[in-house]
Amino acid sequence: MKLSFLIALVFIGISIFLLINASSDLTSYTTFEQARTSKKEVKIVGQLAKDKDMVYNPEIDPNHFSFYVIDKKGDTQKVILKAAKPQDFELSEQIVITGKINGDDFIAKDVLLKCPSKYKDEEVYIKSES
Amino acid sequence: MEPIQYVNEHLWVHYCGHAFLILAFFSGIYTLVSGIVSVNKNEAENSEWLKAVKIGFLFHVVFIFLSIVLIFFMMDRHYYEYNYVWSHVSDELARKYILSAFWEGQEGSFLLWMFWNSVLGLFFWKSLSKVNVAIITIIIGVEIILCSMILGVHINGVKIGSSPFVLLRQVMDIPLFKNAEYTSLIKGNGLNPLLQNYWMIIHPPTLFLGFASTIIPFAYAVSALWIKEFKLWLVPSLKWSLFSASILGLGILMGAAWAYEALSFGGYWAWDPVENMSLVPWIILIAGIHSHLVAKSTEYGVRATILFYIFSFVLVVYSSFLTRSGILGESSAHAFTQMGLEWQLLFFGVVSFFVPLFLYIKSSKFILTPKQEEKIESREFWMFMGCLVLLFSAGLITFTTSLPVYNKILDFIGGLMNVDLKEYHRSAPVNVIDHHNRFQIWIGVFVSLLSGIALFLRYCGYSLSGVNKNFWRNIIITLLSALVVAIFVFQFLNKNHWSLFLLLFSGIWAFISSLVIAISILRKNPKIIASVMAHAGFGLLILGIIFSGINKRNFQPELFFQDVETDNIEGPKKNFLLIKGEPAKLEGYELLYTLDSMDNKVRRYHIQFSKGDSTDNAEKFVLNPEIQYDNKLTKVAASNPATKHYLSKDIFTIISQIPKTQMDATASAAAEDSIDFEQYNVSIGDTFYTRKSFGILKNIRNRIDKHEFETLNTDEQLELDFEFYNLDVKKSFLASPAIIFRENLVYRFPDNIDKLSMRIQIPDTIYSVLNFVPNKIEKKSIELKLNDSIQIGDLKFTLLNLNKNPKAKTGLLVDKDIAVAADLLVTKGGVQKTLSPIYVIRDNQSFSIPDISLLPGLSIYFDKIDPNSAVMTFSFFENYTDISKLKIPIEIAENAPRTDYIVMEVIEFPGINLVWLGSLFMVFGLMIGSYQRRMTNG
Repeated sequence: MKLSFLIALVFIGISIFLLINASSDLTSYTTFEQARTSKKEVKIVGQLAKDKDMVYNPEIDPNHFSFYVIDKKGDTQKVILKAAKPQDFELSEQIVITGKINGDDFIAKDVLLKCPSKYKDEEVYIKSES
Repeated sequence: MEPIQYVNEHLWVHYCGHAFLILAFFSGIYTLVSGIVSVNKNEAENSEWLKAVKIGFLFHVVFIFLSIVLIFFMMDRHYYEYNYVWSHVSDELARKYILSAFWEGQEGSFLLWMFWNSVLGLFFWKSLSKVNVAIITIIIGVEIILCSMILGVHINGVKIGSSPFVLLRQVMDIPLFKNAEYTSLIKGNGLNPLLQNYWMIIHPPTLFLGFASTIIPFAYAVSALWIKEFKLWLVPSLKWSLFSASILGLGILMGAAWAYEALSFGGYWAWDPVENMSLVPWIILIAGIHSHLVAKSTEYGVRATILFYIFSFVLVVYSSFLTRSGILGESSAHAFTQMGLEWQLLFFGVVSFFVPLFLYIKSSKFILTPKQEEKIESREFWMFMGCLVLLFSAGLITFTTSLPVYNKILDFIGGLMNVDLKEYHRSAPVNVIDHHNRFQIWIGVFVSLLSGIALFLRYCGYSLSGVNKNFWRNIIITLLSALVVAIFVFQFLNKNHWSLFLLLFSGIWAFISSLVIAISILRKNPKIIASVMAHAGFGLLILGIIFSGINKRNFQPELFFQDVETDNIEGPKKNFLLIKGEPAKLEGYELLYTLDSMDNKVRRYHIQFSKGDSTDNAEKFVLNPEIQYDNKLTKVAASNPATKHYLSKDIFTIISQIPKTQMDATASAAAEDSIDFEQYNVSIGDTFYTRKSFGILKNIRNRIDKHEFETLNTDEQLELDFEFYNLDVKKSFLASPAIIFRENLVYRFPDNIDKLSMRIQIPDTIYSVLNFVPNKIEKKSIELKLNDSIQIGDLKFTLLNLNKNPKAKTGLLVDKDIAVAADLLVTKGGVQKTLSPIYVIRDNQSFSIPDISLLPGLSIYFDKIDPNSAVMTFSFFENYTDISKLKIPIEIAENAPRTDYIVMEVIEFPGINLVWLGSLFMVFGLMIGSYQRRMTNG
């Protein structure tokens, strides 16, 4: 067997393995209900519950921000971000949170906001991590 | 309805601009057709078709340049009737940012791309050999597609391109455009404040030159397939590939530096889709350059080189599809589609991929390949391995970044089958950075190792062995020394994982092996400096990435008191609170937020860092992170970090939160509403009790000193000095609220005592309290000429000026009045004030509108003008009131939120300079390589 053939075979093998491995990271968006049962780290798309309380009190803890998110199924859940409150948080149209359920709260590792931009008809993303 | 005849529009720009673009488009098509015919017919030089290419391309370039000049012209002149100008320019925008404004929009950036294509094309246009005609033809093909993006024509209701010369009233339907003189009413939107910095001036043109120049290797590769000449192109094209890779690399590096220095991402690389898609074409280009080097020196690698160069350009096109079509904007909301160019961009991608593919399938069988395989001990074998690894790297990054495309395709298929496939949509990895790093760490290891091995080997033909006599000696010595250094350095890492050790070791080896090559071969072959620099740079970059990435850490505040745990969640506390004037301890540093100041649209904070007690080795520096407000000063637009640079590390600071009242206008108003003020009436010197403290009004002053506010001599100003004492804190505090009455406006300057959550302000009603009825019996008369002064008691009057068009409070003057105001400077003690009583003649009657000053209490009338002697007569009353008996109204709130803090993050980036140094080495290595080959003309 030719060496190049062998190498090609090995590389194809590796690439298949890598692609399968990589695609396992491409999760699907879940709901709070699933997050509560699985207790795993998940990604949830939802909207900020604007009528509920948003609490950020830097004088007490600058790394504690709590708010409520309504997921696509209409489920409302309290979310805690262990970081400063992101800018323009109230304006967000859509919110993507990554994290997991801990007790009654959803602990967000990072929050991705989609906000209307004042300057363009485009939208901007604001990311914050804890 | 009759069409409106608009005035003051500069319509010639619209017509000229459209004409230029259409002419550029059609001269492009003319050149393309001539070029194709010329190449296919295999015409000799100076044929008619060649002439057509020569003229056509020149015309195209001229029209592109003219369009660009025209856009700059209308931006510079602020022709806001144009949508592009209105969207990107404003009156306040500094002239230097016109460049940034030009390429902020998609249309401008397409033109920038075309500009570079044109400039690059001119190098080939100079002498039209057959290969050069083919290259010009390929460039013009791309130019035509790019030009169509900004053509802005409608054919059968289908919009082709979005023109920068479209009028605002053509894209917007608002009542304003019923006004024929609307141009005088509109103001530009201006440039996004985030983009108003020097990076926005230098980064886009560099990056776009990088993107645009990938067309040269691409065009060489495609022309090789087209004219079936597979070997000759390898010589002239190499300098262009190296040039392209160096400029694209520099552009990406600038983007990374911008992200690190000016934006709030807290790092130089975030695996953001836009970043990824600029990196991927570069990686493929680097792979192409390596196989190109092999192909030049041996019989191998021609096909691979052609494919790599084609892919690199196709990926540039794919990248612009992803970033410009709006497909990257989250799956559900279609955010970026307003340009309506998705299909055109898709067409661009399809053409740039399938045309070369077709040519490749047609012609590749003519490429000669040696029967024998590369030997394992040859340099080319290991270089190809490296190319494959780079291909993996690019493939994996593209695979993940393309996720929105898969969702889109699913929707498309779903649309065809009439089913909703939304539930099969995938989301980006939960942790994107970990996801990419997990794979790319191995790419780093393999590329480093392969670059080390390949450097020590030689190219060989059929017979020679690539192993030279010192090969094993060199390999073993460098490996061992790399191992020793790696073991030593590894201890300083905050995270110990064997894969990290491997990466560290391989990075060090890549660096050391480059050095050894440099020492041993450089004298014999100085040309190798380019490759040595680039490879050493790669090694350094790896080290920098490891150190700045793994050892990056947030400074944690030392707590003076038991921190109240609000929950049981672990993890680092990134942000901390810093109160103005209160020092905080942070990792050995003492931080002091001393002051903040507003300058234009930026609030600048002074944060003082000091370390060490003894004066000898004390370290002290000030960092100025900033908060940037939007163009209308209504809300925060961005937080700009500030960084202290050391050789071995950076200390990076960013403000993550400021008090609501400083954040935006609406939040400030809302915060103000939520405060409960209580009114007190106090006399000077009296002690009064609030809910939690007691206070004394110590002084009433009629000159305020608010350094952020420019006062006028005619202002009625009042400032009250209070001292408050709080029994709980057992401390006294000073506060000085102020108020200014200017014509019909009131400016209030409340003061805060943040420690007591106290806010003190003066209500408007103070005016009526102080403006008591004057004692008319004491009327005194004075006579003055212009510029004369007179002293009466402790009052001094100077007649400064006469004003024939005086302004008075509404309703006091009517149109037919003849009125003259006198500006009188009144001085009492150290206080100066300008008063302007008015002399009025109405229906043969004369009277005066007096001017009244609260402090010093004075009413002054302008009674008479003697036209012969130019003497003016005034009369005034002094208001003798015992100020100590007045009850001054004040408002005090004791639940006001603090306004004197910031929440900030301090991050240490060790080894960040290795990242910059390594990347610059790579960029310069590529540049030098390109420069060395400048004489091999194509």
